[in-house]
Amino acid sequence: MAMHILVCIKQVLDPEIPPALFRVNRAERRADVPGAAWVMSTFDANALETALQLRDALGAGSSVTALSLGPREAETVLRKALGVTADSAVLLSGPELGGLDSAGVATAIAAAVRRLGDEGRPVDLVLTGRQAADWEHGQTGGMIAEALGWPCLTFASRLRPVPGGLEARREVEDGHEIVVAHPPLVATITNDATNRLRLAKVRDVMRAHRTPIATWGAAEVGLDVGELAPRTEVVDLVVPERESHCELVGGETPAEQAATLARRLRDLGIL
Amino acid sequence: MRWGRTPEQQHLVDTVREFASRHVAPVAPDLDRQPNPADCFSWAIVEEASRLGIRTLTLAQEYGGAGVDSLTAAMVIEELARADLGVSVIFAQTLKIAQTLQRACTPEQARQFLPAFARNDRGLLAIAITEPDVSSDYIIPFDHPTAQFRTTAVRADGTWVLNGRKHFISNGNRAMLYLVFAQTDRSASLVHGSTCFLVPRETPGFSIGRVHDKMGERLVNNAELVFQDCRVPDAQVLGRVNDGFALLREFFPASNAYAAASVLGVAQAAYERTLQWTRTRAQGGRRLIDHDTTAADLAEMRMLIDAARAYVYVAASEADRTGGMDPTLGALPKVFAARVAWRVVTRALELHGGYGYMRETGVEKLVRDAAAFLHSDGANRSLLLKAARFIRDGP
Repeated sequence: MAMHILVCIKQVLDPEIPPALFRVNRAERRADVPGAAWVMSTFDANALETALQLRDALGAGSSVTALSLGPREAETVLRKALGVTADSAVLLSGPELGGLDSAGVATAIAAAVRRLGDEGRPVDLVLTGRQAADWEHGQTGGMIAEALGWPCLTFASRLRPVPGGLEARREVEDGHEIVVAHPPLVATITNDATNRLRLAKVRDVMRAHRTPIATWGAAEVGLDVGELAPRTEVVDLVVPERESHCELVGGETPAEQAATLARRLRDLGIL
Repeated sequence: MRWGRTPEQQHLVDTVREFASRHVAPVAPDLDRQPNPADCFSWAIVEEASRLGIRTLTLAQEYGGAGVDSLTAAMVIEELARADLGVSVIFAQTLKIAQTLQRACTPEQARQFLPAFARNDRGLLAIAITEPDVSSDYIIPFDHPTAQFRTTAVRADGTWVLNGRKHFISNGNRAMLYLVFAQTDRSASLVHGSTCFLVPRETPGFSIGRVHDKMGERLVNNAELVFQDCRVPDAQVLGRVNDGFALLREFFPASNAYAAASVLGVAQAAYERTLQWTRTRAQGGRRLIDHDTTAADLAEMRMLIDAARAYVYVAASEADRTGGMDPTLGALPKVFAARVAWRVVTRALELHGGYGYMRETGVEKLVRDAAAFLHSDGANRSLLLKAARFIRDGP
């Protein structure tokens, strides 16, 4: 079985920025941290590694395409994907593709999937991270599946080929379950000890910067602006004020301190 | 700040940073603390770097390397040093000698040595110049018949016979191939009477002496090399007989820049650590960084590091330029970077207070590491004399 795997990768503000340095532009309802690095969204990196492992397990004829939606700068994460041997890359970009909500992003990606099919490169599997490292909506994967009319497998941590399909390990609240699914489908990937993104080799990095990246706007994937109209609106964006209050519990002995603490907790309605 | 890096260079730097964070930083503190210096070295790090292509970064693509330029190599060397100076030096030595071999080897020598270097995941390189009685004499250099290598090479039975001892040699006990400088004309100084020989590790008559127990930079081993009637054929003379110094002058232009890049990485690590510390540590009712003197200290650290990096980038870029480079760039960048690093790490130590002095925070390690480059790749004062001569005698 050969598969064409599409991995959706988002470029996000570095989630490792120290909280004390994080700022928002409330008027424009966006994060505002000048000089901060832009990186591959964490779970998307897991998805990319899952895709590469699956491709290598499937063998000849299978391929991985990395796709990102964003400004021209998002090419950086696509180069990173190419650097770890993704076979090709597509950037969805353009003025009409800016500022989209999850539904708009999903609509655009589904359109890109259809275009790839029209070009003779049908997609068998779409992988996304389980949620983006910035807004953490966790919706895009499911919405892509809905737009394509495909099943959606969520919180998959491992994928492996089995006759006729894919076996997935899904992480659930109290453990995990094993399911078998049949392409074409969408899967959202969560982190696992087995899917930490590999390190790039120097020569692959150099090759990545010689590989052309296809850039498509809304028109190139057959969308008009009306299809991308937002269904959600960010009403406000604030960094919550956190105050810490420390009250020292009095008492001469441990027994007295315990009694004082118990009374205080009762007074506060905690006990 | 992007430092004018191309997207490809930045990608390489980011990749090396990731490699260092996964494979170097987690093990460096424990390796540094090993009492036996030989145990401070890690083949696991070398082999992983080899697998990723870092070890052969400067080797031409026809031999399976990446063939990057000296500027890109300097960026990588700095990034490695940001995680650990010793690891940076392991590869800085290997990368620069690989460049030298490609430029100076005859076609036959290239065929003999470069493919074997490329395919050996543990293939490290070393250059053996320093001796117990000869160090700054070759750095300045001192062109007087009294300044000679004590390691000699004499003709006997159609071959060269080497006798003598080198010490402080980086990768000295780990390399697969050594560039060994020996005195071949006893009537001349080492400037006009020394020759460079290619000596594979397994050559009879060549042995490794003790591994030095160093103050810092411990993840690279420095060792003694002993030559006792070590026979080397004519085919393994690198360059010309009695003209070993031309080799240093013509084919090692990036050496000083690489050394500067290594110690610059230590400074960068110290600065980042101090920035984080002063943003969180509070005394006097506010964060340390909110005290003016501390803030000014950090600004100065940043200024010095940025200036040193600019110097390194200029020197590394010029090293690849045909037609030669300003000779002061083969001396002064390391002096400046080493002095910057020393100032930055000692200020970092001071700003960390008692915490900096305690081993668990890692700041004292940076001080011990940075101290190596007050002398390594040429004692600073010797390099200043070297540059002064160029200034005095040049156009």
